[in-house]
Amino acid sequence: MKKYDALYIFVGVAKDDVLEAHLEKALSEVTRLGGEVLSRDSLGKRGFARPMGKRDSGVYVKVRFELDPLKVAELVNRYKLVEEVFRVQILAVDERREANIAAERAARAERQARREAAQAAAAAAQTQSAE
Amino acid sequence: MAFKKSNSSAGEEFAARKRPPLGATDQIDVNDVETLKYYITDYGKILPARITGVTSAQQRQIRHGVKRARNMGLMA
Repeated sequence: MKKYDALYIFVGVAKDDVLEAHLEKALSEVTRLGGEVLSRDSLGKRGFARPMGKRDSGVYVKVRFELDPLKVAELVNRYKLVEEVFRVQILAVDERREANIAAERAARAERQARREAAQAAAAAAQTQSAE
Repeated sequence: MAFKKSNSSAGEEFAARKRPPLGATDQIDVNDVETLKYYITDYGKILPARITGVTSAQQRQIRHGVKRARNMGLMA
């Protein structure tokens, strides 16, 4: 079993319960193939950068699930038949790379915080010496 | 002799932008659309590495990320 990140786009869903029903139908395909949904996160309604399928906006939902790698192609083919799913992108998760990126981000934030603290201290020392 | 267009304007425009600090060993998060937007032009074309100054590995990551974002309508 391997972890995958899927980004779904649902269109024409005005209410939350309709979105939930569509999402459940999409995720039932994963469980039908023996996969397990690990987490889901709704990114909300976003406008498309360019019109797609004569639509201007849709609801984006990010889901992480575990699935046998041999069944992913079948899942993608199934989603072509599911009308509720407007578009889907399934990518394999690289946890080591994610950890590296998170560590780099934290290090960068720490360096920035230290730089700002040093600048604030230098500015304070300058105003004190001016007095 | 073929006329060679000067690309100094693209380089100057990019230099004038405020862009995220990126070291030579930093990895690009291909899912972070906000960061990827620094590496495309106003028309949505990917900027070459000789303009942005990123490494070849980072340029490949940017290319993958931008094409994925275009496919999902997150970028033009």
